[in-house]
Amino acid sequence: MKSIDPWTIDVRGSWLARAALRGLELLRGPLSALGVDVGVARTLLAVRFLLDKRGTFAGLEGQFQTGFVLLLAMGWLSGIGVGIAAVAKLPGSTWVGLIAVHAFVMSLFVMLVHFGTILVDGSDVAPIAARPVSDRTFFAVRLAHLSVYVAAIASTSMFWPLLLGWLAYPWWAILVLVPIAALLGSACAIGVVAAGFSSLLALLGPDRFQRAAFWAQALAAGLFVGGPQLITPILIATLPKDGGAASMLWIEWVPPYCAGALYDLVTLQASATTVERALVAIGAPLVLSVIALLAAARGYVRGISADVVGPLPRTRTWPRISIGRRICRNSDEHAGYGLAAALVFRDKTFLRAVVPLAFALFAGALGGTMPLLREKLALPPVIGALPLYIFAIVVPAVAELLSVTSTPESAAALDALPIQHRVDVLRGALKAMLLRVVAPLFVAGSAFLLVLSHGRIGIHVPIAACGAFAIGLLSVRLLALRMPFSHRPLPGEGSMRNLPVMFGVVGVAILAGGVHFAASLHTLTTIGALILAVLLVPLAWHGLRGIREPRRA
Amino acid sequence: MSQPAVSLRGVHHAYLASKPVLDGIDLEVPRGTILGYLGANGAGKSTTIKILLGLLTPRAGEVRVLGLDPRTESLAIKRRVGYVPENALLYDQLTVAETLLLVGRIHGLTDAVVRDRGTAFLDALELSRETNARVATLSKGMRQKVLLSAALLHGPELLFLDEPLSGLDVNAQLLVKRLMRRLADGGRTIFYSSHVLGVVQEICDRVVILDAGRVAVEGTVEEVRNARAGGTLERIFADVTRPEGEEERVAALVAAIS
Repeated sequence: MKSIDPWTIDVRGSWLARAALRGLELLRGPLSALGVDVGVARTLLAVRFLLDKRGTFAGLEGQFQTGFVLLLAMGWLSGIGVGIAAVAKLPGSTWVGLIAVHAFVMSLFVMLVHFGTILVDGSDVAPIAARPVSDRTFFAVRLAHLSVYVAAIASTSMFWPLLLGWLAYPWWAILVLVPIAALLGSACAIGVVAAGFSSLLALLGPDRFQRAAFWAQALAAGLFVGGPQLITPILIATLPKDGGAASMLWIEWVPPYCAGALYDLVTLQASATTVERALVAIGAPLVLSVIALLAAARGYVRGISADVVGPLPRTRTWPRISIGRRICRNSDEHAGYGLAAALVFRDKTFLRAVVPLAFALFAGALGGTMPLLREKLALPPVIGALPLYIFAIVVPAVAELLSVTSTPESAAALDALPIQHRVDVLRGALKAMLLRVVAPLFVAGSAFLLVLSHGRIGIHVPIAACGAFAIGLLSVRLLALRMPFSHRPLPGEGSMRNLPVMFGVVGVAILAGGVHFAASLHTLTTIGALILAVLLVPLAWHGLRGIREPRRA
Repeated sequence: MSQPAVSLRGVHHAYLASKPVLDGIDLEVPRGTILGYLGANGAGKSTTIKILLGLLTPRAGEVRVLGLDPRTESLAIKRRVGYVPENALLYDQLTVAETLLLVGRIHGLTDAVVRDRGTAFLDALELSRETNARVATLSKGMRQKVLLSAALLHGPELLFLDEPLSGLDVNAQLLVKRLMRRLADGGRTIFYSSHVLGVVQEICDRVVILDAGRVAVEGTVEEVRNARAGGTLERIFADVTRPEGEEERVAALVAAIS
């Protein structure tokens, strides 16, 4: 039997880790010039990959891979559109530019939903903080770690363009340019995110960094979802009315779209600005990465070690306790309620997971209401309320996130208590989460839509809000949940268990939206829908009694 | 006279502006000595160590460690010191050998040197059977041994030990105490923070007792005892830091659970 030498940090089993370490070695010269200790960076990076592979506990080792494979599959599927665009026989430079933009958007999305926290996660800093590792080296390791995962996912989107591109363009140009454009787009996105975070650090200092980064992430999530819907009308309004393309030439200079110039360059169709635009495409990610590294030079380790939540305000807690006593059926449930009520606005991992989701949904609802704001479109008022059904997914999503925490070790303290039924603790925590996080979100979302539509969608808002809340609530009993605040998630971690429920909620929400639309055609049925939706909420709340026993870690 | 290993002058620090943790600390630790750094819970012992390592920046005052300023030269300081934190700060999913390799490589040691020194430490601390075990599977005492090995791996000039004997079995405690004495006799400095006053009395050259963020008592063990009319260090510590009304507080505690 082959004996394994324990005195080695072995990452030979991971091709991603090997690629990352090789990349660092190739960049040794420039990185050293920027003040990165490449030897130390290689060791730290190898350790990070090893830790990713091993997970938090032995029983969870498979989960990281599951989430990562899901994202790879998503990247692969997302490339279909750009691949098919080749058949439309767009100009080669436009198509290559689109590939870069697609990789850019895909990478941004992946960072927003999963991997962006690699740059700001302070949970594993402590073992290294007292060792001689410079801020820049530490940042470079995080950046390399992030880059490898994001680039791997973005690169799966190349499959369809590589497969279909030859139908319209020279095969050799496709083989060379598709990977380059995808990687440039991905690198540009990574550079934007990294430079954004490190600029926040440089501007605000380490003590405020985590808080600023947290709100930046939440806003970015909102912009990502709602931004295109908000920007599209503005873009359309600024388009030249005469159909002339001359005034839109500036777009050809915007990275990563300007990577399209590479096509003109390799097919010898260069115009006066082709070389410059190609240089912008290649230079932008480099410049952004250098800015990020330079800005992270001072206080990065201290910055990510700081807390997301500031000092607690001195507030009276009796109203919360009073509500908890009223809605909880026994002491275990009350204990779970108290735990969640205290932690939902303090646990940084939970907040990092939930607040961006809330912002994204808000932005989605806002985007959905945009047609109402356009005076020329005479749509029925109910259309403006239907985006509220998106909110149905908030309930199961936040219920699943209720288990995440920055201090999973504290779950042991909970286990040591004489809890009769763990499911009661979970139910109490769910109630606190529903009252303190989800219900305010629904109220705020409803109020937002009402104000935005100047009250034109009136009665339809409570119907949609109650309907969505009830649908979400009913789904909770189908979920496989963990004990509240008991689990530290890994980057990219995902579980297949609750995915069918999530898809089911989306399906039912769409169906409910259709029923709502049909009911809105007559006043009586509209009133009936309102009564039904309002009655469904307490019924669904009652259904929390049937939630499943929490999963063991 | 040689430069002190550690020097603090008028150091103030507060996590919340209204509640200072360190309120004007003045202190010097000569090289080649063991300083017992004592104080009640929340007195600022761990905060002092974090400031000395450059992990925290004090709100005011001057700090020097091995002649260097932690505010601007923390990397150079970290290269020359070893640190055993109060809580076992280790990556749970690394093995013992991987942990020592990680620390050794960060300090610029070759893998061969780490292997030799690591094997020697683990043998001495009776942990060699766990070389390939993940840290998550180790007991508290075993983790403490890994931390000690990691802190000593690069031969630091100055050691910051925050409750280093916590969780160790009696044999390991005896070994570590003897090791600390030998290291100090060999010219290394040890900044030793602990609540185990018997050990402090036994091995430390000097002691400092913090109270309410200030140095309340400082000197050699003998000086401190003579100044306080004899008695054990424990008695002196209690006199300096204990609030009034202990009996009443015990009675209140018992009444609360009765």
